[in-house]
Amino acid sequence: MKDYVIDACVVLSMILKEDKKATAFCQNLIMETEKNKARLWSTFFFRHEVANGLRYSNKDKREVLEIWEKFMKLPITCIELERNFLGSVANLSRKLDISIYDTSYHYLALILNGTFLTRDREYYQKAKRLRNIQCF
Amino acid sequence: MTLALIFSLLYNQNVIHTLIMKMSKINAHSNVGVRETGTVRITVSVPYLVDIFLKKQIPKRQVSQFVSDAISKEIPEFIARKKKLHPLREFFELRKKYKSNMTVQEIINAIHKGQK
Repeated sequence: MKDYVIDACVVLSMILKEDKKATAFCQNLIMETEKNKARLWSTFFFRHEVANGLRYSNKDKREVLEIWEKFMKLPITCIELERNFLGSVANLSRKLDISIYDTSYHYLALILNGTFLTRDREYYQKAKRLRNIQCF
Repeated sequence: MTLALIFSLLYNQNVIHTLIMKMSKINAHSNVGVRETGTVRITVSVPYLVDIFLKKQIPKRQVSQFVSDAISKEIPEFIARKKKLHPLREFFELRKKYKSNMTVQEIINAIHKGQK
């Protein structure tokens, strides 16, 4: 069983942006999840980030509500990092010069020994040396 | 002569269909074929407790009807379950309806708007 940590950008780009490579990647991820070969995880603020992304996307209220309704059914387990972990996240974030938000996703992937999936190339370039990360 | 008649009947599905319908008193005007309305004998394995229940609670010669009804009730739900998409695939299908010309960077900016 593979463990994937996904960020808000992965989820939103699934529906708002279509490119062949990303579509193929998502299809594969969906197939693995359907066959119970993969589990999806995320951080506790993930839903807020998705909501914010939808809020500032060019979608109207009705469209946002439909997307949100389907989004809430996704089998993604959201985890709140404990206080002692947050200290490590803060250190890592300072070291990489990246926000706590982005680092939390990656840190979660590290403690789960899974893979952090992101579409944020800038973050990927800064943090790829930590491993457990894939950018598509 | 008789053999020839039997052979001709065997090769004519419509005639056989009509004959069976008449024999089994099935409504001749029904569009449902014999295969769907007739019964077949099958062997199934059930848990021991189910067997006890069937023997104790269901009158003799009504077990088949009871089992058949129970299965028939389950069929629409089974079909619905089969047709239902995985939530992730259902979400992914939304792209056909909502794909926009936003770039990945624009999506990232939308997510982080107001955080800084």
